[in-house]
Amino acid sequence: MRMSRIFRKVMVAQVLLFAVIAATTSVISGWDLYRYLTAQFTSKGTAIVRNIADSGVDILVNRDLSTLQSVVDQFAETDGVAYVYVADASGTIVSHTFVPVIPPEIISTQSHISQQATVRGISIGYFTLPGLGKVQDISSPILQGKAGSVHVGMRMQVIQAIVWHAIGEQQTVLWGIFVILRSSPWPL
Amino acid sequence: MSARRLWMCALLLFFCVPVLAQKPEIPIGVSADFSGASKFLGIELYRGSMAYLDAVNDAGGVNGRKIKLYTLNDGYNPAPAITNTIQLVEREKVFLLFDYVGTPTVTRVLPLLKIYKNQNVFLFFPFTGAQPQRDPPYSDFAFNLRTSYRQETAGLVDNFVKIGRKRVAVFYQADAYGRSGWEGVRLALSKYNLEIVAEATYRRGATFSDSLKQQVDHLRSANADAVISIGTYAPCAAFIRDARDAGWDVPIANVSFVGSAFLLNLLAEEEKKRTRNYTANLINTEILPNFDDVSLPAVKEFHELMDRYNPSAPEGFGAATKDEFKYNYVSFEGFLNAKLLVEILKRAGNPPDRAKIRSAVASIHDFDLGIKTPVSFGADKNQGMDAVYFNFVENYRLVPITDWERWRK
Repeated sequence: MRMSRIFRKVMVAQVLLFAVIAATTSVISGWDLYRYLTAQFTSKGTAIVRNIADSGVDILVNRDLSTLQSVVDQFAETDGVAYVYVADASGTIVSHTFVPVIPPEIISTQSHISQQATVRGISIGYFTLPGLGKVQDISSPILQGKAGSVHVGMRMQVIQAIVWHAIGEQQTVLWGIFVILRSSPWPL
Repeated sequence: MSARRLWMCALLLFFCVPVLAQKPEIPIGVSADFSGASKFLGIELYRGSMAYLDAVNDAGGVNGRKIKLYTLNDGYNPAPAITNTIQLVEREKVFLLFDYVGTPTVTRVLPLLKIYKNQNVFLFFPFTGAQPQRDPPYSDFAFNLRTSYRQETAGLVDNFVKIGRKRVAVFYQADAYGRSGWEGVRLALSKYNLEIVAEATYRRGATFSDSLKQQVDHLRSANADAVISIGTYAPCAAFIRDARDAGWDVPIANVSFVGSAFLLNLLAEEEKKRTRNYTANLINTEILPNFDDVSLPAVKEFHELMDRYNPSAPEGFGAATKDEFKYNYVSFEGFLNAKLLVEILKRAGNPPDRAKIRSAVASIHDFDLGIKTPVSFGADKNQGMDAVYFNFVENYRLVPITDWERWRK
């Protein structure tokens, strides 16, 4: 049985309209989710940075670096954390979690970041690092920069993966509903 | 009393008196890696200690009390080490903690000891040269026999600088252990106004089959003329293999924690497979004299007791130790740890009293363990020895370095 032209046009219009609705909803909810998760990540990273900056004062001034490394390692196990590092007042990285080497991007921008952190308190920047992808770098001075600074990198790929996964699920459900409704005997 | 009753009483006494006369054991807690990537360190340290403790127990124990080790496996990971320590102290009620292995584990356990300070729970002779248990606030809760990593790395840097090898790079484990050694190298170089020229890391738990080419390439590109490795035997051996495969033949030095016997064994086996020399230009620091130098009374005793008892690994971790590892630096250290521990227990009262441990340790002055290096503790000194021994590899054996000039640049 051939489909009438008008019916075909209506169906194409329906599909297009539905696609626009599905895409718009996904973009809006994906964007909301991205903003929400980014805020959560920033908040988590900031809490870690503040924690290390506060406890690191005593360790950097009074104790050895293996104790500081122990603290850094504990936070590096947190979900979403790409790296943690602590630089001394001269900008030298004295404790970190990078394997196999400290990325050159971090070394080259270290002194610049330290200055920013010293002036502004909590500071947020973005890097793209090989093997880690896009990273949100959250930093804080330790003792107003006199003892150095601490940096936590949050893996943005985790957020992107969650957002794409959510969008994928949403699209599947929406198109699933569309197909079910289209194949139902009742007119839409 | 009838004759029958008298016989009954006599029999009862015959069976019960020895039981009643047997004094309670001294329970000692051990948490170490018995199954992970560094299991040979935990097992050999334990075996060395057991050789001495078996002999002491066979001779009646310490003031009639036998010593029993309660061993738990932490796999060289901090979280299980904490759980194990709590279990040993609270459930097993151990008298003290002993022979822990590794910096990342010990550094995380130290705050627990402070929490238990009212119970006087002390950690004796951990197999790590890191600073946290040597410096306040935890120096009051741990006693070390071995020299620190700072002393080992300072010795290496001093000698490298003397022979013109001033561009020192560091390859290290990405954790507290590696950082401790890294800091030691950094401090030692700063005396000469020098800096670490390059650094590269590996993740704890890396194995010999892992490729460490990236690390080799990075250090080599910095034109380093000596490398100090702060790691365990498998990844350090892999680093040496990859460096030599790349044609990079700079001296590579390892510190005592590496477990030199196991490192050499891995490299020797690789040499057989690939007909390449992996054992040239290797330097190793040790904190004890050579375990084969039978002119030393302690070495002779160590060999005798290892031969007599040949202790197995802790129950459940029973991989037999190969004959070539019968004697090694790690088991020798475990042996001396046990020897000194027994001496301290003898001085801590009868029955041993935790409250007397600190004074018992402080009373150890110029004590002769039989290695021609006196051991001394004091009110402000919680490390018994300060010696560093430098070895190089010759015919797959560690030989004392008498002349560093062969590596002059």
